[in-house]
Order: sequence, then C-alpha cells, then structure tokens
Amino acid sequence: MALIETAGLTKRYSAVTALDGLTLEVEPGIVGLVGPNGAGKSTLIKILLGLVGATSGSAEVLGLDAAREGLKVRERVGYMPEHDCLPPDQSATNFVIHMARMSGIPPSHARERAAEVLRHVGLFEERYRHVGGYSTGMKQRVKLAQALVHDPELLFLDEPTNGLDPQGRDEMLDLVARTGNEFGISIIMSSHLLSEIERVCDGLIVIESGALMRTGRIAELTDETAVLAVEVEWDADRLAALLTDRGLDVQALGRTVEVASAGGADGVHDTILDAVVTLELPLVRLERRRRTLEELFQPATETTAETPGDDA
Amino acid sequence: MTTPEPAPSGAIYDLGYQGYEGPRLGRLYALWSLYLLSVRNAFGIGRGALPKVLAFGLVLFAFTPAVVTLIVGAVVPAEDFQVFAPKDYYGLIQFILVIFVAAIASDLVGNDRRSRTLALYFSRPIERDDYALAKIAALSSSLVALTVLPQLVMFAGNALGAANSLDWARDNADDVPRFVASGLILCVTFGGLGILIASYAERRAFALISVVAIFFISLPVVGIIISEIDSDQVRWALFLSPLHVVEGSTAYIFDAIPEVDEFSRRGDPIAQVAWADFPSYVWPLASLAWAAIASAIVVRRFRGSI
Repeated sequence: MALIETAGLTKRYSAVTALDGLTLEVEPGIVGLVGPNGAGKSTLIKILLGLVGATSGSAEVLGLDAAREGLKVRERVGYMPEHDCLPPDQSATNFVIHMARMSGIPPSHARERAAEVLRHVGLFEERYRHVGGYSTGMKQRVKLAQALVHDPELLFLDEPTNGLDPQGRDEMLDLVARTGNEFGISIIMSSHLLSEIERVCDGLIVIESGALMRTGRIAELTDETAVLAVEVEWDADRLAALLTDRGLDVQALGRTVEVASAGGADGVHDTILDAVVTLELPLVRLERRRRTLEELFQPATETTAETPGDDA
Repeated sequence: MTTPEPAPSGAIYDLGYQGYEGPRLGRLYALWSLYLLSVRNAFGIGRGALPKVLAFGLVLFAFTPAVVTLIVGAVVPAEDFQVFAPKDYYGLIQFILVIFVAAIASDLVGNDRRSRTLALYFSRPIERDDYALAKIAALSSSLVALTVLPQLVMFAGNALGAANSLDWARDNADDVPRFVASGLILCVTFGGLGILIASYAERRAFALISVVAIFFISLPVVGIIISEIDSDQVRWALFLSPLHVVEGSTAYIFDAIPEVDEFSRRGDPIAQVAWADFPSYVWPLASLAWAAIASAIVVRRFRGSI
C-alpha cells in the first residue's frame, strides 16, 4: 500500500493557487519534500493531515481519505511543525504526556510513552524543567518527541533542523534517520537543504509552484545522471583531448577527467581504457560518480530562471 | 570488575525504541483530557505559584458571603435569619466572577495561540470545534466552584446550624434546584463570553481589560440609557448588558423579580429588568442565547485559525 496517494490535488486560496493538480504516490520510507518557499509544502502537509480541505482532487494517507477521515489519519500520524509550538510554562514531560493523551493514549501508558520518547530524543533530567528555558536544540527535540509519543506510522517533519547550529543539525538528522530506519516509522521531511535530504532520505518529492517537479528514489535520481570519473597520475589534459577526439563529452578537473556516460554504455569504458593505454598513463581510479542532488537541480533552477514572469 | 567507565550520556539508558500496542481511546477521551488540563490550568495546578494564588484567592472571595452568613448564623441564633439569601448571592459576587473570567479566559485560549501550540492540538484526533467547546466548558465549569459550590456550602451550613436540620433543609429545599439552575446558566453565559473575548484579544492584558470592560461598561451604559432616554423602546437595550440579563435570569428562577414602581427605571439592574416588563422567562433564555451565540462565534474563530 502506498503511504500517500494524491490525484489532481488542487488548493486555491482567493488569490493564490497553493497546489496545482498535484498527483503523486509515496512509498514507505524516509522521504524528503523539497521546494522553494511558497511551493505548497505546508499546504500539502495540512491537506494530508485533514486540516484544510482541497479545492479539488483527492488525497489518501495510509489508505484513508484525508478529507473525510481526518480524525483517523491524525490518530496514526505525527506532526512536527516548523515554527515554535511549545508552551513555555510547562515541563517537557508534562507537555508530552498531555499530547499523548490528546492522541488517545490512556494516562498510565501516556506517562510511559512520554518517558520513552523523551529518552529517545536525548532529553534526560532536563525534561522536568520548564520548556521556556530550553535551547533551540532541546525545543526541537521536544517537538519531535510530541510527534512520536503516540507511536505513529507516519511522521511529518516540517524543517526539523530549522534554527539549529551545525552540531544540533547533525544530531537531529541522526535522530530522524534512526526514527525512520530502526523504528520503521515512515517520515515525510521537508527541508530546503538538499544535502540534508540526501543524507537521511531514501525518497524525494520536489514541488514547485504547487506542482510536482520530480519524485522517486534518491538512488535512482542521482544515478540517472551518473558520470565516470577517471583519475590519472598526470597528463589529464592530454587524456581529455584524446577522449574528446573520440567523440565523448569530457571535462578535465585537475587530475580527474569526468566523462558523461549517458545510458551507461559499455563502449564508453572501453574507449576510456583504450585511451589510457594509448597514452601510457598510470590509471589511479575509474569509477561511476553519483551526482549530488544539488547538481541534479542545477539545470532545473536555470530553466526556472529563464521562465519569463513570476506569477506565483 | 574494573572501575566503571562513565558511559557516554544516553547510551546507558538506550534500551531501544518500543512501539505502542495498547489501546487508543479516540476523540472523546482526547477531548476529556483537554478539558481536564484546561480546568487544572484555570486553577493554576501544574503551573506557577501566582496563577494558583490568583485563582484560589478569587474562590476564597466568592465564598466570603457564605462564610459570613454561617458565622453570623452561629453567633446570632435566630431561625430563618440569613445575612445573605441564595437569590442575592450571585449578584453580590458578580465582580469577583468577572475578574475570575477576565484572569482565566486569556490563559485558557490565549496561551495556546500565543505559543502556537494550537497547531499541535489540531494535528491530534480532535476537531477544531471540539477544542473551542472544551475551552468554554472548562471555564464554565471552573466557575461552578465560585457559584454553585459556595451556595451548597451555605445551604449545608445553614441546615446544620438550624435547631432542626432536617426541617430546615425540607423548608428551604426549593432553593437548591434554583441556585443550581441559575448558577449553571450564569456559568455558561460568563464562560462563553469570556472565551469569546479572550479568543479575539491577542495579548493577555488586553484580554483582561476587555472582559472587565465589556461586562462593567455595558452595565452602567445600558443602565443610563434605560433611565435617561424617554422611550419604551430602550428596554431592548437591556439584552445588550450581560449582567442585566444574568440578574434577570436568576431573579426569574427564584421568582424574585420585584414589583415595578415609579423608581424602577432609575433603580438597580434588577429593578430595570422588572421595569422592562418582558415575560420574565425571556431572561434565562436570553442568557442562554448569549452563551450560544458566543460559543458559535468562538467555534468560527477557531475554524479559521491554522
């Protein structure tokens, strides 16, 4: 069963179209949701939580209709908003217990679960102190804890690393990865930092101006534009020139020559090896290089920039 | 055994994540939890010292007439003598009740809004209407501690202090349903209005002042309109003053709407209510209408948020 399925999902506010015929299918796992500000990420999450009705189209979460069965969806889903959302005058423990009860967990279980998830996110003695005195990192952990406390099947994390310093960012990403991989909870994580998505997610959804730009497994997305990296001890320039002569798309970067191998044809390997032998160069390395997501989006961004008029 | 190396923080406690297989009690239970927490918050339980002092101080003030009546009753042994009668009780402590509403309403709805915790509530298996109604219910039932409860204490104390407790209780038994019914109507009216005002006033101080102002400015303004404008039509203005309406409601339930005389129009609120000469059952209905309209607006308000 797909985790999330939408068909022609459209949301119009009086002047703005937040989502424009979004059709997607998300498989279980840790999925990154990427898009510029105002792309419709938050609107999508709100519709999936059953908090906002769509103008047209349908959305199913865990096999439930988000519009009609919002209560059931919210019973099985956790949500960590991007913004501050913690009451300053309560202890983390009390607040998380309360949020467990708000999800229907009976009182005694709620206390156990709260202790469990607070420990999981790395809050120990400090969990008895008022949240108002917490650092941003601790607050983010409490926000994650309250989203996890009812043991959801799916978590929506809206910019979970927002406002964190590099170390806090690392720790939060590790937590997200552990939550997804070890506990088998599927996660939809929005972020504007592709490097974060790449680090923890195995799937990716890219939306822009309310429409789907790209979706798939990250491995496949980074694979599809793979290049061959050829590293030689010296004379990389000569190798590049020879390969260009033989009709390959080549770029020399220091001692490395990058060769585009569209479709991964075997002939390219032979041509490269042949050229290396011809020039009698010492070969250090010949490997497929996965492109990073950032590179993947380079062309997309350029295309967007060329589009005349910004009517979003 | 070698000397134990201090484990890196966390590792020693890390027993692995466990899922939850227990019961999930759903919407009504979630609502009940929200209601309970709100009532606790109203009395400052689980919060700092100041909210507790404030809330329980006001409760104490609300009990004062009951306590005074009981003490005087004990010192001056006279059958059928009460310093404060049940029908007058709510009017006496009106000011305390409004202050309580003003102080608590903003905490109940404003805090979640200010700290943006609403987003977390709405991501739970409850509806937004539920949230709004739970808050009104919490404030209304907290008010019971300041209205019906002191009346009950006063009734019980008077009965125990009487020469023949059973006889006294039997003779005055009518009062109980009366002060319960009129008290509950008052509670939902004040509760609904308080949450309504607080849900529109973003800042705490502003909410506090607005509640006091709306109750205590409408009272003299409507009073002056009634007494100074020489037209019978101005009697409709009484419905705009919640305190007039609630006093009318209580007086109707105790069958205590006074006779109209030439001074009524310029008299106290209850005399003005009598002067207006509406069928007296409209007062409890008007009071409940205030509560219903306020609740409906609050529900709309929360539907629009997030």
